[in-house]
Amino acid sequence: MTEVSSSSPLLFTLAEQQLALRGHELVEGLGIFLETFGSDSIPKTLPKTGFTVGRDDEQYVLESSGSGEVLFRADTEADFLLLFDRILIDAFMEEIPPPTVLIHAASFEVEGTLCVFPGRGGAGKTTLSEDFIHRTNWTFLSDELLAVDPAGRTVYPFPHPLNLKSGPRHDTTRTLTVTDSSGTAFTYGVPPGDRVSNDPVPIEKMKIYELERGEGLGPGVRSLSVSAGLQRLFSYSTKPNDPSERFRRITKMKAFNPDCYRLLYGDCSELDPADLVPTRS
Amino acid sequence: MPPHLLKRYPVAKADLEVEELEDEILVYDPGNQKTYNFNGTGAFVWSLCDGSHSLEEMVEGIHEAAPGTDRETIEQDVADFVRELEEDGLITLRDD
Repeated sequence: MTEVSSSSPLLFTLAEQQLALRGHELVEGLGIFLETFGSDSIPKTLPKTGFTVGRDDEQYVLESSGSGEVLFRADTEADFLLLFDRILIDAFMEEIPPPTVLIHAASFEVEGTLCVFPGRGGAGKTTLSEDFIHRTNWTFLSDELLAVDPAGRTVYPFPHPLNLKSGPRHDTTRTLTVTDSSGTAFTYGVPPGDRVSNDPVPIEKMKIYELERGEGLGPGVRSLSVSAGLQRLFSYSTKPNDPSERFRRITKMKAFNPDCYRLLYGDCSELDPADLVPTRS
Repeated sequence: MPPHLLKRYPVAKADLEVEELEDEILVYDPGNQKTYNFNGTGAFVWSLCDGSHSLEEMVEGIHEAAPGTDRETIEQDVADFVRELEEDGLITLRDD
């Protein structure tokens, strides 16, 4: 068994000898896929979910390292990666310790400021993430899921590869394209390793920009009160399952005294990141 | 506002989660799983929905704080707000 990545809450091992029977396509694809989860330091605060990848009856199999439970089987490398993406999200959501709240949002860290971009499906979280990775030096935390511990003033990143449904917008975006067994191609954008964080990030301040994308909408920024901002954030929160407990945790975000806005826009190229989070340098 | 409504006493539902922020109140109703945020006058009215303040007292309080505002306008705004709260089941109106 070879450890592929160990710095995220998720721990990966590969059954290399078995995979070698059919070449290293999966190993290479998985390696690229997991690049954003790799770094030198291992956060001590997080539990680890272990995965083992193996081969069984011409299928790729993902097992839980602890229980040996088969999480899924896939006929092709592409199918494996697509299913694996889903498993990663589920595992991340399970492993983050309380009193954390999980929010459906894209997010970056900028000089101690957590910049959160919640939005409904199609609001542009992934597109904006790719664009801002290209146009800023902000630290990318996630295009989809954010875990915040308001008491500890800490954010747990989940910088998985971006599922770029319309393909990359910038030629600098590194991509991994896989085609599933039904012939559908998926393009993942792999953020550069030096632009992401996997370790818990301390946060001093918080800005919330609820994304609302539509032709002719903007660009425009509408200020919200803290109460309205937290109300909106609650609607994008996913864990814990008990909504009353979720509400109580969301309200603890008031400790950040967050700046809250609705961000109206038609295309993210209209947005100037420096307007959203002015930086010291 | 109808005179009989002025004499009624709003009481907030018991099992609501309420978080007070600066000049604002955030409310969660586990019953319908909706959140509400009240600021300014709405937060003031909500803070008095404890069964011991009539709508008339609420209107008086707002009028004292903003004497330049027409009393009828205040009555109408308070009546509309309270009606919305009642429709969503956040309060009940008692007669005394």
